[in-house]
Amino acid sequence: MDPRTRQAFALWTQAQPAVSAFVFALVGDRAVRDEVLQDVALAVLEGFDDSKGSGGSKGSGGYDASRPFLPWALGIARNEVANARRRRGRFPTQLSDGAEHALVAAVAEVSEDERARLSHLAECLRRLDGRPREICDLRYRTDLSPARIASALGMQPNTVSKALQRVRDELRACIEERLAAEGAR
Amino acid sequence: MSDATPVDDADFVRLANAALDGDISTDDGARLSEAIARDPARAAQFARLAMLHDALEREMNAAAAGRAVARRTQTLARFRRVSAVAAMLAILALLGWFSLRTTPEASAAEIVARLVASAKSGDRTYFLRAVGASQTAPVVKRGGRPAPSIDGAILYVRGRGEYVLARLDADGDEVLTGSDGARAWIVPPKGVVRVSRDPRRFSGALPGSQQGIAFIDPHADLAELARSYELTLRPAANAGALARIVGVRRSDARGGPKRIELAYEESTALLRAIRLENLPQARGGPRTVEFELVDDAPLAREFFTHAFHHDASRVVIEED
Repeated sequence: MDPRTRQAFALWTQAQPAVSAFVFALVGDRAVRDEVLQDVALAVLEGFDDSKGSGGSKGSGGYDASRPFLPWALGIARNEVANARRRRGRFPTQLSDGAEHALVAAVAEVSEDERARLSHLAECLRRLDGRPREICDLRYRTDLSPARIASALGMQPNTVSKALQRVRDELRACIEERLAAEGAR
Repeated sequence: MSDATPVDDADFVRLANAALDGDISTDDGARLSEAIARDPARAAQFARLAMLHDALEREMNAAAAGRAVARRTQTLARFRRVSAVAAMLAILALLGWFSLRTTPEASAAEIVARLVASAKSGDRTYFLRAVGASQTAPVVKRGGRPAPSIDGAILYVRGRGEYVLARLDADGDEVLTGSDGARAWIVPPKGVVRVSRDPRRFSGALPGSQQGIAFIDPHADLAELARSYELTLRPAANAGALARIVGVRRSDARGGPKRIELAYEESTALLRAIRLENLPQARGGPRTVEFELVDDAPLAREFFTHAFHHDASRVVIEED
């Protein structure tokens, strides 16, 4: 692997979780997200070969190494989502153009800090058990909607949504605790 | 700017999570968009939530993958109904037949024997997921309504021809099809329950059935699959990994998934996953379907009878 390709892979690997979250927020479907991410990864590599903006992939321009990587990758992702939307029609999630634009800037801004916070998530998840873990597992691993989880467990959809919210709140609190403890050391 | 109702903190979090759970109305989506577009702090808040959802998916899958072989998934243990699959047994049997023809006999025969014994030893519950670009192309039934989706369906198997397939229709109501090994049946959300002595009746929703590979009749399906697939064994790469059997449809074969992959635990022969790739698309439906084992707890003895799944007051029609 040549140094430039290695650099592209390294930057993409670092950016991928944020780009993945961004794409999912726009499309609301895991399978579509994964397809779009594949297209984004290819476009990113093509853009790296086409540095300093001499055309780039699909109108996104080549990568300018003097500028941050993530906003560039998010721009490509937004273009690929638009392409997928043209092919497929409406997605489950439909943010406005203004919201999408704002989200690009927001993800680029919070990504690094949030990645550091979420590095504690795995440890906090180990504390989760019983029904909350079961609901979390059905939502995030099995990819069931709150309505389907409610049907499976004989609960009301609203109760499932609230339970998921409580889980996320608890995980956030756990992460903050661990960050505080880390800062105190 | 639109005149969408402003949202407070709690409302914003609720809307954001609803969007990320794929459970938001058009009106609420407009309010969420307005808040994100108008206020950079809200956009940042939504970005953080999106990253949390993404990380939760990643970590939950990583945690599941790292659990011990002996772990018994409790995820669906509280489902109201129990289940079983003839599909599994048929696949195993046919692959065993293949293995004997296309791989070193001793190892293939041994593996298949263990897989079949494992499949017969208890009940299995699989979660079905449609994968690929055609996932959203619904199978359209006569009358224009989309058929219940195979994506997100639950398949229960017992290993002797008994199965229950639970799908949701467009209204979110559950449609059950199944067989107790002797009689096939369908229990729709409302209306009459239909029962048939033809074990293949109502099996059309099982992945592969459009191509005559319904995986519920080992004898009939075996012949077709034996003619059409080459089999390869892939031992586990390390102690924690799953071993695999891969069947690739021969170039001169007609119909059927292009590739079939089974993943199993070498130590217990427990079949943990099935992947049917490149299913023909002539009648819509997904291109690829994955089966993931989510539970192997015993189901009720009568689980595979139609009566287990509906009130006694429902009208039952015997078709033959």
